[in-house]
Amino acid sequence: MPERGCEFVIETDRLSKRFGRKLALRELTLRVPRGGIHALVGSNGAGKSTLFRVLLGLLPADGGTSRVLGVDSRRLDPATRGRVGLVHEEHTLPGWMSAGELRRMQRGLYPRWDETCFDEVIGHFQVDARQRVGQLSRGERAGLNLALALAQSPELLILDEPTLGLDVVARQAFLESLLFLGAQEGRTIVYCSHQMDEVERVADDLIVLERGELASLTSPEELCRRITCWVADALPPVLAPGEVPGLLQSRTIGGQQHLVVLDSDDALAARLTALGGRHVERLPLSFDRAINAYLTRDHAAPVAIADPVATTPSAGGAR
Amino acid sequence: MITVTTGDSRPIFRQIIDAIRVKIAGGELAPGDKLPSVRSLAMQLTVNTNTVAKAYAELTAEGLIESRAGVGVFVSPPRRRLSDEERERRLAEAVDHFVGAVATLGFEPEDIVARLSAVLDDLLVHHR
Amino acid sequence: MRSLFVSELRRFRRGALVFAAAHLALLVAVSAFDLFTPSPAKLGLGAVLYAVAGLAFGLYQLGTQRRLNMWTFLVHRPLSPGRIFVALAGAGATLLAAVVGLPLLVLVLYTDLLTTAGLDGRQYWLVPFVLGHVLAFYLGGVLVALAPRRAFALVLVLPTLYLTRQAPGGWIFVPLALVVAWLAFLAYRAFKPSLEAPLAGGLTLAAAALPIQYALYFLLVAGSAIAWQTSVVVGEVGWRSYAVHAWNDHFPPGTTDHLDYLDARAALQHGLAAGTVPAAAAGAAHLRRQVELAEVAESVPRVRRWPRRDQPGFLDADLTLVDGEQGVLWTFRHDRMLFRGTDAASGRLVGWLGVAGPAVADPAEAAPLPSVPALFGGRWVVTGPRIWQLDGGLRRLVPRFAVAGDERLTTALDDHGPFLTVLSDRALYLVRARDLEASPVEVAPFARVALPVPMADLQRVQIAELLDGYLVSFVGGRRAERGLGDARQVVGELGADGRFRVVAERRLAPGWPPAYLQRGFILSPLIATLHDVAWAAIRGDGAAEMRAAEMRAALVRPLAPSVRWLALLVAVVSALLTARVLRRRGIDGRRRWGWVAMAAAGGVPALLSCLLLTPPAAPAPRSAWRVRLRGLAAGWRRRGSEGVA
Repeated sequence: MPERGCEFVIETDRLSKRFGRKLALRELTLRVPRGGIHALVGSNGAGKSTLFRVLLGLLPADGGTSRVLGVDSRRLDPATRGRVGLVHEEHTLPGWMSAGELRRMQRGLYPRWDETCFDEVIGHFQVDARQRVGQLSRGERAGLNLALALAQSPELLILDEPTLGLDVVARQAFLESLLFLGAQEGRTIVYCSHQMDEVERVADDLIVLERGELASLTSPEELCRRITCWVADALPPVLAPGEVPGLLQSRTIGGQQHLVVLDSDDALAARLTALGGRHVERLPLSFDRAINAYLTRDHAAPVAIADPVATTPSAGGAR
Repeated sequence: MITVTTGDSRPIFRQIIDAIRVKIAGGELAPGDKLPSVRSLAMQLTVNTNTVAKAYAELTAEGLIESRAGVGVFVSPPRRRLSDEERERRLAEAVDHFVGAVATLGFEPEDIVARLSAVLDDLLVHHR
Repeated sequence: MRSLFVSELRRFRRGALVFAAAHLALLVAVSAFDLFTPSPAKLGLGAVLYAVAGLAFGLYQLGTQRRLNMWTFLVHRPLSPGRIFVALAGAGATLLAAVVGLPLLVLVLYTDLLTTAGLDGRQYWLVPFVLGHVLAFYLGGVLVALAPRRAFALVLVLPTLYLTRQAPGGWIFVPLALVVAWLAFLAYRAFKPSLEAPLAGGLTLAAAALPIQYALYFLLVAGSAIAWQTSVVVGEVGWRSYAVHAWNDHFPPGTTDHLDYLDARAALQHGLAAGTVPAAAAGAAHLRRQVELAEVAESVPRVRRWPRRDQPGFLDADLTLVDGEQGVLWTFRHDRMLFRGTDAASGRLVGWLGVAGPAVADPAEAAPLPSVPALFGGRWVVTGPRIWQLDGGLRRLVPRFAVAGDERLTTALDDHGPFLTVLSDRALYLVRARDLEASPVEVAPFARVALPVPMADLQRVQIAELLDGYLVSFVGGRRAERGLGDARQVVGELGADGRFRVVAERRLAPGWPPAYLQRGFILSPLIATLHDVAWAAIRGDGAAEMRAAEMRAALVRPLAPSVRWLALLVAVVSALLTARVLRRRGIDGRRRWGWVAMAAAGGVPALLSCLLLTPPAAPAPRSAWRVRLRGLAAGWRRRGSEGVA
């Protein structure tokens, strides 16, 4: 029997999943503690959707184990499923039912159905009970999906890119509903998104997945604090690996090298000067740029962006 | 009111802290004024309540605001909140930062100082 | 669960109405072709259409739910997968009952109650049978939609178990119910949250493996037949003459296949050619000369399986006597065991005809037939021991021939000119044509020859009229290909005194080598035995003892040594290969031994089914040095591009 107060809502232990020759999850070991909103980020192909499918027992793993609310994913019983809500980006709901019929069906299935919660959430979106789900716009479907998921009173709510493709109004309504009707004492939310501005607003905790492995699990500020951007002139365009430890990203913009570095200290300034750099400076980094750099560190770097004007280097290195 | 932006180089909770600090310093928020509750500020800004809670916690630790049980969060009366060392350190840091920013602009030191005095007078008058 | 059931019903409500109406319209349109007297074409077309409808619906209903996000919504809820399946399949079955069953029932009721002809009560069996048939294919479609591998489509061989069987009476519903239950079980087990995970559970795997093996067995048996025969033909005449190859040249005399291609005279001559009984050796040449000149007639047993009273209508053989001269159609009706005559042009009722007296208007006054008859040639009505002739003008059934006791006839009176023959399951009777014309009622035969070859083995009988008497040849060997029974041709002389003396006797062998004939057993002893035993069990050819004897024979079949060795070889190789495959796929312990045991008994189909049903091995990970090479190459490329810039 799963214990009610288990410490980790999601636990995986060396979880692996491959599709053909490609490893989507690579011995992933992850423990998500109960409570709060955890944001899950990772570039495409990092394995986020695969992870959710394996967690909910919809896909068999090739190795390792995973548990949701203390129960093994391969043996999820109906009661535990009733405690986990899922909102997926496609917001796929049976198109032939009306919103009211859908609500009635779900109400009959879930023992802890909260009707007032449903009404409050659905009030943010213009959805009439008689409308057929197949005729709703994407934003309206997203709202209906969220309302259904929240009214189930889940202990764990998983959202997989839920605001993708929504217009500004729907997105705002969605976020508001989620933050103020969804986030509650005792409930854990796992929010998976590419939209860094949403993640910045929403996350208590940031989980970074990369190539099927866990890259980081901290608060967003902690991760951001470790990432800094150094700008210098006249650096050699190609840096040997190891010359700048912790280099995440290197771009040449307008004749200057922009280096995004992980865990750098002031000693790096001296090092860059030693390499021939001039006017070495530190630039502030926004959250999304920092995370973006962190996520793309192993990806192929694009060709340098040349300054369209310059054929002669400008004196003084304009910024 | 307070606004925050994503994509700023400061985390959101820091933006909230700075904004409230500026408002208190500038007199928009007087001692004894009621601040919005954690939940309502979070709703207003559409951010996680824990973020607002974190900002309020730090401001409370600094002594700028205080929470009264059952009633709400209020601006604290002005009093010495920081130690002398701490104040000294912060002033030195801010001076360094300021000097570094204006040093290469090409102004005369006297002009800089005059400008600085004028602004400070303006600000601190309101504060009292 | 109920809300899911209702929601699924509502999902298809519009489609159901449309299809029910279309079905009813189609039935009304086609009812002009008299749906209730079956013909192979009607039965075949009907079976195929209903099967396709059921299959398509099952595939569609679950196929749309199977898409990833729909599936997630369906399965991730506080309801066990078993109950979700029951709700969905229950809704599907209910819809099918409404769309398929109701219009059929309406048609049957209408035809029975509101037309003058009416129907026998047994015709109502059509409705549950068609429903069961559609349901079987529906569940098959559900299973195929849910199954992790496409090979599961092979399980659709199961419905042939009731489509190709001719079980007596209502017993046809036993294999039908079995097939429906089997497919329902498999579909239920295939309905699990993780669709890609292989089916698990010993019983489930066995339930999936057996039909797949059965299908593969048929494919292999048919395929090997084609391959073998093609190679034989090509070996004999080469590729170019393939199309004009005639099989009758291939088989040597003394084989059953050779005899199949001979006409009556040649067959008789074949019997005389060898194996002459010494006592008659002297007159053999004389006989042969007479055979060259005489008229040779042939008779073939026609009825091997008698229809039963109240058997389902679609199993009927022909039940209508057409009287062209009078323009009357006489249809036999099980309800009253009488013939109902209708005017061919107007459809007006002419009368009810029984065995005593002329046709009458009130069916209660006519004497019913003792059993369901077989009809021949537009005028012969044959029940077990009796033959009646229809007199169209007098509208009577005139008894013409009878045998005693529990002897059963297998033909009517076959006309060969100056004489006629009747075959029963024990003897051949000869009747003079002028005796038949002279007598108004039953005629006595002038000769009775007890069958030297049992009826189960008898294929043909040739009769040649000689100067003094007849020469009769009995060709056996009907079950020779299965290695059973009497494979002989017996030729005897029927003298003027009515005595039958055997003149020549010849052993018959199958035309093909035993390895070819028993290729099914070689490929899979298990399936071949199961198939033969099951067939024998519900064959209904004859008496219960015959059935038991056939089942026993299927279990303890005689095997030529070559067959035995080949079967053993195939079994061992299959078992070894299976063990190897399972080791590669990491399946150990009891499961591995289970599969290996099945491969040893089930041969090649079992090996193939193991390949299909066990999850494939994970592809080997890229070796480390290849990964490093790739990384280096990527690094070089990057440097190059940056250097250029």
